[in-house]
Amino acid sequence: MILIGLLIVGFVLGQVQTVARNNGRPDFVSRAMQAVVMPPARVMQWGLGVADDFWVGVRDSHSLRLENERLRALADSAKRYQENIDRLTARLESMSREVGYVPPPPRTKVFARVVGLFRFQNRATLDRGSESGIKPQMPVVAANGLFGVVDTVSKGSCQVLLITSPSIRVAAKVLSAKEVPAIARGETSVRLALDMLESDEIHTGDFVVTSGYSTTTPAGIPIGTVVEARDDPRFGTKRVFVLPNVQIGEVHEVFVLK
Amino acid sequence: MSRIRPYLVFAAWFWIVAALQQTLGTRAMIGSASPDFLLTLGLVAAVMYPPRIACLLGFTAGVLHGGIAGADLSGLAISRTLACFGAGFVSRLDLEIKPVYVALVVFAGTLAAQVMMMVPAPPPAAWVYVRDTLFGAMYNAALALPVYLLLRRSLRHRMN
Repeated sequence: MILIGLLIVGFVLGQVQTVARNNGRPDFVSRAMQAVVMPPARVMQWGLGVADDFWVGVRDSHSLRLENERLRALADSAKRYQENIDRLTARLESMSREVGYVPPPPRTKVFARVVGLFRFQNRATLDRGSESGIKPQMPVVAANGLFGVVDTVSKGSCQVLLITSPSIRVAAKVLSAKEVPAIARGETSVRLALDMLESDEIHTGDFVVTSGYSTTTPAGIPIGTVVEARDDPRFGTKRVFVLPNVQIGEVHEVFVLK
Repeated sequence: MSRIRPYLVFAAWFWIVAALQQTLGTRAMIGSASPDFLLTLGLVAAVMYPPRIACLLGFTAGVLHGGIAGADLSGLAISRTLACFGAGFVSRLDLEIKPVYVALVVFAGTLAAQVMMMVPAPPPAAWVYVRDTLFGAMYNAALALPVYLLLRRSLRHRMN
């Protein structure tokens, strides 16, 4: 009797979760669980981060010093480069005004930390939520490229569907001899598959970026590199697979694009 | 007090292990094998109790995992409940429970739970899922040994 009761409760909880998720918010069970588990998880996360930093500092002190010098030199050249960009941006703005072009408002970035990562479920938890203006469907970007898409949002945290999830579709384009539009979707925890109409020009090593055809994800965010493009005789097309730029397990900090 | 002690002990265990799952789930990966601390705890505890308690432990593990990951609550709750229910029958066998048996039960229970998750919604590359599940089951089996010893100690449970 207990078993049957629990199975029914489990099924009902799943239905409640689906309804809540369709409304872009977490269900009450997930909210309660996260409220209970998040405080000790944050303490553990902080402790691990401190320990990581300490041991990396001890192990790599020499190379870190060299890296620091290299970055200082890079920062100097970036400063000069930025002056050039500012000058060109000012010129572009004056030209835009002359022709009456009104550019779309720029997206703002919300910095967030990955406080939970669930590879099997293709999900991550970030420490920012609706308080920071985060909404469902916003793209989440790591240093190397697209990390995922916001799925559900609560007050102080949000859940992200990772780019490797079969549940999300990302408007993409392959940068081969010409730009080929495609839809990227997760296939396994380490690679994506591309759905596309024309694939003759795709080759291994081609870069894949977001196309900007979607209203939520801007163009040009790196997604990955084509690692396999083979003929599919059943449909007369190519099967194209992509290795994501982002190494999911290595990501600890991201930006949500508002 | 002695009647509610096991409940308090399990509440504390599940709380800490859920935080570990949230924090270490991916950091503790070895290759493609990722540990499932909550399922391991559920299965280890299930071995010590009769099936009616074991399924409750499995349900708790599944709902906690689904809740913190925001993942498929039905799938996780049902698969964990059934896996732990099965593991609960070990306590009915007339044998002295040794850590190695517990590890075997955790290995088999992890495989069973993950296969149950796969059946209603098969992943696109099933062989990768099965491979990762197999490695994950071995990882959980290895974790089961210290978890069993610690759990037995904290419950002051004597198996003989």
